[in-house]
Amino acid sequence: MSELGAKYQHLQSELEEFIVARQKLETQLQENKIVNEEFDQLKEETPVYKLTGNVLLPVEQSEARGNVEKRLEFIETEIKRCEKNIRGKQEELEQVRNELVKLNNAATAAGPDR
Amino acid sequence: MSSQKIDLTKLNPEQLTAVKQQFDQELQHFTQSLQALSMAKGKFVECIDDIKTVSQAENKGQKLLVPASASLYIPGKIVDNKKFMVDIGTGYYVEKSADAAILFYQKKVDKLNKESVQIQDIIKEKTQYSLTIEAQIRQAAIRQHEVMSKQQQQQQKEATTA
Repeated sequence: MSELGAKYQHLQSELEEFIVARQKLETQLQENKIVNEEFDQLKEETPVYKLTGNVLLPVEQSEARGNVEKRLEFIETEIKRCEKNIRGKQEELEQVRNELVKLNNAATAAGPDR
Repeated sequence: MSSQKIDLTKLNPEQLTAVKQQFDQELQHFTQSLQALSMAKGKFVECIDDIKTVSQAENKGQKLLVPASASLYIPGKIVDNKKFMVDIGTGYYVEKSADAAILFYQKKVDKLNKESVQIQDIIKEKTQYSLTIEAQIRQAAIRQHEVMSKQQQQQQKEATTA
């Protein structure tokens, strides 16, 4: 019983970790989306710079666009993977919870007899 | 969470306190978000003001000190006060004219304002709920008190008749 409870708590904290990761990915996705929208509004001759360390380095607009697009793709697949993990953990949690409830019911049913 | 309707009158004081705690936690979270939003808004408004100041005609060729690091400044001169480097996110900077840069920041400020209003509405709603729950806790406490005093009276009566 206590072993199962510990497992349940462990699963819960794992699920929480996944959810935090998912939130982080969402912020990244939103930021990159905004950057992408900005790039779409640029004129062709507008210079683009990338902050590297403390210095602004000029980059080709096409390169910057490609980079952000690739990043968006990457983040989206990461989000899908993360959501799959979350669903899996939720199912696992559900199972353990059912087992816990069963054990609990059995214990209370057996209780008064003693 | 909020789709689940709970009849508050059926909860005992302990459960009510737990519900209230949860609401207060959510409320705190939203208040913090609101603070973060208004801080971000302040930064953008500052940017707009800076652009307006620098792009004024009399500031063309103005001398200034450029920070090379947090503790080192290099004397410089504004060569072109109509062009600005705008951070559009994820480390990318784009050259914009003064008007375009102001528009960019103004859009951000407008968006943040809209979101602030939304959060304020949520906070209002949650505060209302929190107050209702508090009233319920009080009523539940009164009910419990009445039940207890009745029991006491009953016991006293029994004691005197016996």
